[in-house]
Amino acid sequence: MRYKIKEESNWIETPARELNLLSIAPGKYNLNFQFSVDHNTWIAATAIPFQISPPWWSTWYFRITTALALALVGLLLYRGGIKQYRKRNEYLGLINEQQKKLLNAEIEATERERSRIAKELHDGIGTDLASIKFIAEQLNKKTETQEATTIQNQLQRAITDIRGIVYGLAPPGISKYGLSAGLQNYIAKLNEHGLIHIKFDFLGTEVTDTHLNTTIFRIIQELVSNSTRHAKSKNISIHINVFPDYLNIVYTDDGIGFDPALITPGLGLSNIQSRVDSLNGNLDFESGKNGTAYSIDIPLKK
Amino acid sequence: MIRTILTDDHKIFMDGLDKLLTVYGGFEVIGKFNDGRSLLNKIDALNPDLLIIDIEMPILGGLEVVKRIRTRNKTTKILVLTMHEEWGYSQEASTAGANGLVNKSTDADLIVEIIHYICEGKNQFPKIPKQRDQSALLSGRELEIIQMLSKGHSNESISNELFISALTVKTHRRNIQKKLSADNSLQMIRIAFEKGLI
Repeated sequence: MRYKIKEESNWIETPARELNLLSIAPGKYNLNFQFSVDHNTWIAATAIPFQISPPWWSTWYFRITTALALALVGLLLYRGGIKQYRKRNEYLGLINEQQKKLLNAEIEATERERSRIAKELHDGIGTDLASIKFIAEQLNKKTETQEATTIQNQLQRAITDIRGIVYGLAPPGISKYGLSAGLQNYIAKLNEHGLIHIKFDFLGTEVTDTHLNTTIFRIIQELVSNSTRHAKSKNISIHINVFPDYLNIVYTDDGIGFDPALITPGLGLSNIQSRVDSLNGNLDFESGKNGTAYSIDIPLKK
Repeated sequence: MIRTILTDDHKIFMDGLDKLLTVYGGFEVIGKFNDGRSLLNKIDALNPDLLIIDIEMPILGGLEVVKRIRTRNKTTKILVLTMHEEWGYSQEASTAGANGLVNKSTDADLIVEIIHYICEGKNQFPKIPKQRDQSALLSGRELEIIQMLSKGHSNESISNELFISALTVKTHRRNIQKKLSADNSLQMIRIAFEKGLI
């Protein structure tokens, strides 16, 4: 007997009278038989068509269902992941918000304390010294001695020193008269000494937010201190533009600059950065042969 | 004799001033008060020629007191004597109706001179610096930069010529563009030209 299960296959001869067809791939078949006694002349028998069903895992409906299920699971996982990611970000945002609140609270507390000390120095000791100076002046008029003159001069120096401390402690007029007026006061005071020249440009409307102004004043104070103490600058330019939604400060000096990679904590840059952060601002700087330049953007509440 | 009232919450200072006026002569101190409220209660009855008053005082501040006095008394000369140096206080004191303002740490000679000046009917306030023009659209530096840009200079060449860093040039450019409401550099230069800035 010989047989084939597909028309295009070759005949397979077998002496057996039974046929066991194993491991046939799923599909449609036609089983053809031919019989022979001399392996020469073959007599065909009626073909038997049969079908092997595919196993359940490779049926089309299973495949589609599985694909859909997988897609669904993927989608759920993805959405879950996004949710979690969002939650995580929200959480980080919360921490950030919390840190900013803390930072702002800290800044405000420091400023309150500074104002208090400044007020006491200014209204208390400053006035005391001014009154003593009156008396010294009268004494000087009456006696015209070297000692009286010395007392008078030293009192004057002490008054000037205290005024300097007060100016550093509490930005004069900055909360009462605004950012431009306050900075102008402060810069005029610094220019008086003649050791440094500060050019000040302010374009746009006055800014009257006390917290914002005080923080900006501290940033500028720190920058000036960096320029004079570390960078040995002679000229500084402070250039402020106030736009409706933010303000920009371009601060430049003609000092020796610094290598940003070698920033030491004493440089106060982290102080400046955290103050800028507390106002949700942005700080850029560049240091090189033309001194150091800072560009600071601070958003404004509308 | 100039009939004078002193008002200051700082006793040492007021005593010093009292002595000072006595030494210089020509003044009769007819009243001393430690706060604005008690001054207001008595000033009409005393009707002084001159009032020397501090700003920072408990209960009622000096500037508010001056305002209230001026609603009913235009003749008493008022000198504000303060530790404050900010220009704003000068303006406020002047608006309130004071005739002058002087810093407490000023030399005694000059204080007395100013007092006499005021008593002659003139006003004396520290020179208020010229108000800066904040309404200008572009600063001097910004004008320089837009002019150089219009002549075709690059950021780098502006940086080199003006001895400023690249960051500074970049930021100024951005600010100018925003102020001129321009979308790009070309438009910025055109608007600047139209506005007569270059």
